Amino acid sequence: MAKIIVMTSGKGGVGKTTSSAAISSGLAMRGHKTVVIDFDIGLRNLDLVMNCERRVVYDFVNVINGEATLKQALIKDKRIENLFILPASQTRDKDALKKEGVEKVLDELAAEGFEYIICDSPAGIEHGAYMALYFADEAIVVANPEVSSVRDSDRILGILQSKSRKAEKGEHVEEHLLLTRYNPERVEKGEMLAVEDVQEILATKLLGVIPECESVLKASNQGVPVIHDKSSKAGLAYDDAVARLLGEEKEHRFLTAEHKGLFQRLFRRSA
Amino acid sequence: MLDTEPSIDISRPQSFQIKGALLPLTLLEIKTSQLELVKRELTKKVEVAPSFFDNTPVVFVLDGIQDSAALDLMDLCDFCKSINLNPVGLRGGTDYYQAQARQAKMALFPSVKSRTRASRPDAAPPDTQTTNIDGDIVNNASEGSKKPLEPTEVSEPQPEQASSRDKPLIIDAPVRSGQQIFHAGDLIVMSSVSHGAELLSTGNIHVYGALRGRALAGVEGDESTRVFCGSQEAELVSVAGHYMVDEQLKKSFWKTASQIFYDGKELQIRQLSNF
Ligand SMILES: Nc1ncnc2c1ncn2[C@@H]1O[C@H](COP(=O)(O)OP(=O)(O)OP(=O)(O)O)[C@@H](O)[C@H]1O
Ligand SMILES: [Mg+2]
Repeated sequence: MAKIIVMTSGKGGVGKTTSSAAISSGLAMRGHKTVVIDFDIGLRNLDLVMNCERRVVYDFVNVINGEATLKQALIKDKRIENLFILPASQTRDKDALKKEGVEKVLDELAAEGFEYIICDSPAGIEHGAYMALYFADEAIVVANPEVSSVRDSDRILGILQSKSRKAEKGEHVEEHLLLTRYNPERVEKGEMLAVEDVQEILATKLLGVIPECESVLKASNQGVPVIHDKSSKAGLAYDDAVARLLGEEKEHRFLTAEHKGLFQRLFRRSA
Repeated sequence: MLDTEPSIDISRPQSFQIKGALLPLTLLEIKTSQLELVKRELTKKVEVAPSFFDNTPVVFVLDGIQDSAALDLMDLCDFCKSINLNPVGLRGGTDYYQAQARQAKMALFPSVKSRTRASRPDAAPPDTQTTNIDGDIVNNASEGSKKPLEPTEVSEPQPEQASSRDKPLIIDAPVRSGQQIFHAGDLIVMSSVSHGAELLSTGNIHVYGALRGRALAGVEGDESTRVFCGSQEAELVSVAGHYMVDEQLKKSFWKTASQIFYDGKELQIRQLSNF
């Protein structure tokens, strides 16, 4: 049975798209047939991050409107077997996403044998975000270690557990907290919230902590999801998160600042 | 909030504002289908306490009538109006009565399934319960002279408190920012209440995690209700309309397991100690 997972946050720019690309890639690498859907109508970031924007002919809204078949719109990832992207429309109005239409596409994807359907939500708590989370079985709530982001995530969790299809049926949507852009140095200086603080406020299971890392920007510029970069901390942290999502026990890493030795500090200063 | 049309900002209308409110209503529980008896006894009641019948909004409860379709609700309505009561709604009721109420353009209130007294430890046990705690003046009216009320008591009707004795509502999940929970009865949250979340209860409020949002106990005016929390980090706490905001709350037992109650003059915060 297909598992629908929404990548949501409330606040914008916290790393939903980066995480959608990384986690869907990670699931597919482990052999699970996965599709990632861009719900951010009008912006279309996901296909850039996944480097397939030049191959977009039809999009999600075309499929909803019956202007294209699912097969025509799905883009197969060039690197990984089992991974497909359903891109967002760039021009249509945001109300093009209707509940019935979205449901039809999700059902069709499930019938195609997809195991994981990752929904990359737009920011905010408006229509698009609501559509992305409505059908979710599970939610990965992406937050940055700062008060406003955590507050928004809290709100989204509330909406998820009261307005989603599962909630309407009296069921619980499984929650995962993904803390991204985590900077242990700044946490130590008290400039950012610590993992424990965020967890205490949100009272939700921690799926992973992704460190703030230059490799992320590099990866998205190259159109290669950062999880492919086995030399980057963010890539490794995403890989751990995927393992946890699949039920493995993994210790969290990169949570503490590396205290550089005197030699390194001197070296760095002169560099 | 969600699903709004983009062109019209219906979230901020200029001409009106919609607000939730909890207003006192009087319940009129009818226990017999013999309308003549009801009329006779109600008329007597008017003589004893005329000031109470000052266009008082009443909600009918007909669950005590054995026969499911015996009473003419329209007739009852008309009679109530004639003695200066203002029938506004029906709580619960059979399909038959609900249909009549709808026809009379009255509001329908959901029935209260159970009224466990055990849910309110501060309430007197049933056998010693006074009419005051019962708060149900009209209930007495239909019981005739069994429990006569002093006219002075009748002229100052208590807000409807029967509903404060509903079963407690227990919430196992955290209450998130933006959520509002109202319960006519004790409200128990096993987890935390976030900033920007709001709890409203006619009874007591218990929060076993951290209370970071707002908690309003005794919203129908019961000053004996309290707020208990595992960690007091609240934005606002209120008991029967007496409230404290976070500037004051921060000064007393902040981030401490505590209880907030009304001592007759002002709100008090006390640390919960282990006995
Ligand atoms: N761990 C990280 N380290 C450094 N930069 C990051 C990290 N995660 C995300 N970013 C950067 O943050 C920016 C926003 O990321 P992304 O587009 O994934 O966020 P989003 O939540 O999808 O935004 P939107 O709400 O606009 O859809 C991008 O420039 C991305 O490269
Ligand atoms: Mg995005």
